[in-house]
Amino acid sequence: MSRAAGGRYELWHRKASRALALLLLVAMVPAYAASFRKVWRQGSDRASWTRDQREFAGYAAADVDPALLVAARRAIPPGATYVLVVGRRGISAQAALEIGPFSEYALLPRRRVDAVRDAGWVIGYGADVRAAGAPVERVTTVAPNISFAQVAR
Amino acid sequence: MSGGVAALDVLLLLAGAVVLWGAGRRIERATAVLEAGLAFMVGFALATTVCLLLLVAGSDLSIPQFLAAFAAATLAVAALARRLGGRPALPPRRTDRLTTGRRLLTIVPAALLALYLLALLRRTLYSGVEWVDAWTFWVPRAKTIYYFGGLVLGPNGFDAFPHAEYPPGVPGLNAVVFRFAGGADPLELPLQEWLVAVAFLLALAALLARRVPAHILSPALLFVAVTPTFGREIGILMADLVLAVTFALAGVCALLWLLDRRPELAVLAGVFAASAAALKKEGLFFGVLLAGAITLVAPLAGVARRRALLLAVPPVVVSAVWSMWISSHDVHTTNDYRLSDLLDPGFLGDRLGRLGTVLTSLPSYLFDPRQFFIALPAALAAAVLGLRRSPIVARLVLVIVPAGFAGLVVIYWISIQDVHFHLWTSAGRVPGALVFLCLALLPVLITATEEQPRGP
Repeated sequence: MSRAAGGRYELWHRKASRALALLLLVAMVPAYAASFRKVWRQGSDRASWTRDQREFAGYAAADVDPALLVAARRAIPPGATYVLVVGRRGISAQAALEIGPFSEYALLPRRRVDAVRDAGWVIGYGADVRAAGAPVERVTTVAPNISFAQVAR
Repeated sequence: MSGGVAALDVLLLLAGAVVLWGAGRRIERATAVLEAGLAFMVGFALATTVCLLLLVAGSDLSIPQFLAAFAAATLAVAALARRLGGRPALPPRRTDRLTTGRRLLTIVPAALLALYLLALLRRTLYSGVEWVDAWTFWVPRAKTIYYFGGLVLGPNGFDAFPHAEYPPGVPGLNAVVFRFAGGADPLELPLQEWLVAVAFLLALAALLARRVPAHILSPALLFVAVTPTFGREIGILMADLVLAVTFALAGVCALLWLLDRRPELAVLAGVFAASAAALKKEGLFFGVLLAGAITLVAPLAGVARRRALLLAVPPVVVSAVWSMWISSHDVHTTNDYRLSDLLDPGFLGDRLGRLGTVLTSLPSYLFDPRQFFIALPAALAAAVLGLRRSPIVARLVLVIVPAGFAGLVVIYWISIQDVHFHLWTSAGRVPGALVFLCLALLPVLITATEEQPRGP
């Protein structure tokens, strides 16, 4: 490259570099304002949440009633087992799909089992706890069609 | 944060400090906070890898077992870094005389960054377990390790949740957090992610302060922070952001190993690359990608290719250990893709339409300002401009971005998930590792284009 061409390249290079740096700086201004506003608003939205609401904050995506899990966690001992009976009475398809994984997350170390004969407790979601096919006692109804009970032995 | 978890965080910091001491980094008063961030990240990276190895060995991650293994790993890595390092002197820290304009360019972005991190802290302290993947497998898996004593399989066990093939670095360390907290309280976890994010920014500053002047470094760190995925993913209890920042630090350390000719930085790069593989399945892909790209540019820095290729060893070993455990225990997995499908021409041929969809859709995620801001176009433009003055960094970016894109295209091509669903649910997060590496290298490139080169 000749000296003149080299000089032109340097000049062009310097201008392009400055333009890029300036562009990035300018682009950051609205991006910063938007990010800050969003994060601050998200913080404000969550500021009033209780501890239970924070722990079960995924309930909205799962469309499940967190009151069931709060109550079940208080009543069912940590080492116990439970079976889940899911129906479609009064609950959405999304909730019917998600109550399984959401209750597993929320109720650990209580173990979910498949058969009622292995379970100490029954949780009914969109279904009657008696539909599990075992005698139950201490039925706690959290909402219509949402309840849990201990299996009678 | 409980006192126990604070003690764990101090432990991570001290372990990282021991490794950095072994690597010969001398702490100046002016940069002590930055070095503390780097030390925390090194401690975090080591801890995730130690958790994976302990779990595979049958540990329940009790505090004594974790402490013993973590101390042993820390001393071993520090000894290796000390043995390899310390020959040429480090380039001096940039202490350029600042004009008023440059002083403003340093102070204003730093103040804005501090303010933004405080806003993120506020949101994190109020955050809960919201994201679907967090409550369907990331947090429950940590709980199973904590409650049932390690990688216990069966109903409600480690494999009872989706993606049992994901390595257990994050759930493992979260289970250790539970142990130090004295209970499986998931609300202890978001703050840990915020600490990692802040430590990452400090670590980046610590590593780059010797090459990048403050008036470029400070806006560059703000640029990282305002990238939407950064703010969005802090405290959501998923592994993508921690993978991205860990991988970015692996890349920066590997690059500085070449530029500064300090082999102990290769040890740090190895620690971060191993951690990336322990954090998420994609960590192996990104680790091998980085090793390949570093191998390509290594001769420019006078480093033999076969030595550079050694960078692939830590992530490959960690992934191999995990894969062997998965196969030896016959774990039911829900893999989205199998690499062996790449050898099946019939399988690939049937999916040519899918390939077209991926090729046309993936760039819209990578270049979407709502996901990754303008990180990739900025890094690519800076790399083109920096080709003459900073050929190693520029070529690294120009190699790793297309290669990473090609790798992601292949993964989405052979995935068994519905292509639109798979892209929609992950393409805004998974490329984060590549993006954050580019963001980390951007200030080096900008510095090179602004002034005459100081080194190779």
